[in-house]
Amino acid sequence: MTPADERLVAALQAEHAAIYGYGVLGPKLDSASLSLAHAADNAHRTRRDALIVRLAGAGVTPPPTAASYRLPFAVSDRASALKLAALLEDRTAAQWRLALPATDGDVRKIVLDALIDCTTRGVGFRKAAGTTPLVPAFPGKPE
Amino acid sequence: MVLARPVLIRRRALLAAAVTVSAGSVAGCDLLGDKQAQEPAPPPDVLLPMLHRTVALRDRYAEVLTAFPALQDRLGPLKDDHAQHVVALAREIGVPENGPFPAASGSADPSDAPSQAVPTEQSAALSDLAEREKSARAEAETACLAAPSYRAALLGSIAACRAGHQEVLK
Repeated sequence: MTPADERLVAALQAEHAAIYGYGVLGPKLDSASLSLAHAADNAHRTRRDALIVRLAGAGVTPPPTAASYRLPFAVSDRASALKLAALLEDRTAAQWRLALPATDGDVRKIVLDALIDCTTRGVGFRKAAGTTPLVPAFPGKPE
Repeated sequence: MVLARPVLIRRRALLAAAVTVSAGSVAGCDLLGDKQAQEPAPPPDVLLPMLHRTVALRDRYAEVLTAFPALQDRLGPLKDDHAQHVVALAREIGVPENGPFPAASGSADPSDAPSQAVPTEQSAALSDLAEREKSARAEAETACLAAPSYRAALLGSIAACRAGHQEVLK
C-alpha cells in the first residue's frame, strides 16, 4: 500500500466512526441543529463512498465499518450531542490533515476540501452549542 | 635598550608578515566574494507574499476592532488566529517571527500599501473582513496544493482556519 493509500484508509476509518457517531447523537438534537447534523452525516457518507471507490480502484481493500464504536463521553442531551458532533468533525479533520503531505495533485485537492468541510461544520456545531473558540487556529493539528 | 632593538625589529617583521598573510586572506575573500557575486541570489521564499498578506489581514482585524470595540469577543479570536499564522509562516520561511520581514519581490506588497479605511458601518466592516478571508483562504488553498509535502499540512490548516472564519463572519 502506498503512503497515500494508508492515509486514505485512516481517513475512511474516521469517516466510518463519524457516521456512527451521528447516528447516536441525532436523536438528542433539536430540529435546528438536527438539520446541521443531517447535512454533516450526508457529507460524511458521500466522502466514505468516494473513498471506498478510490481505494478499491487502487487495489486496496477498504476497511469496513465497525459494529460499534466506544463514545468518548455519554450522549444524553443536546449539549453533549453537539459536543460530540464538534469532536467528530475535529477528529475527522485530523485524519484528513495527515493525508495532505502524503498526497499531491487532484488527490490532495480532495483531501484539502475534506479538511476544510470538517472545519466549517465544526464551527457550525460550536456556534449552535455556544462554545468557544469557534475555530481552531490550525484545524486538524494535534493540540 | 640595545638588546631590545632586535626584538623590536623581529616584532616588526612579524607584524609585516602578519599583514602579508592577512592581505593574502583578503585577496582570497575577494576571490570568493567575486564568485558569490556571479551566482544569482537565492530566490525569496514563495511563501513570503503570503506572510505579508497574513500580516495585513491580522492588522486589518486590529483596525476594525479599534473602530468597533464591541466586536472584541467575536473578532478577537480570529485576529489571534492570524497572528499565530504569521508566526508559523515566519518560522517556516526562516525569518524572525516578530519581523521585520524581508520585502516580497515582484508585485506590489499589499501590507506596505496604505490600507483602505475601515467602513463606518459595522455590517460593512464585517462583510469587508469576510471578503478578505475569502481571498486569503483561496490563496492558502492554492499554496497548499502547490506546496512540497513538508508544508502541505500547515498550509492546509491555514486554509481551513480561514474557511472557518468565513463561517464565523456569516
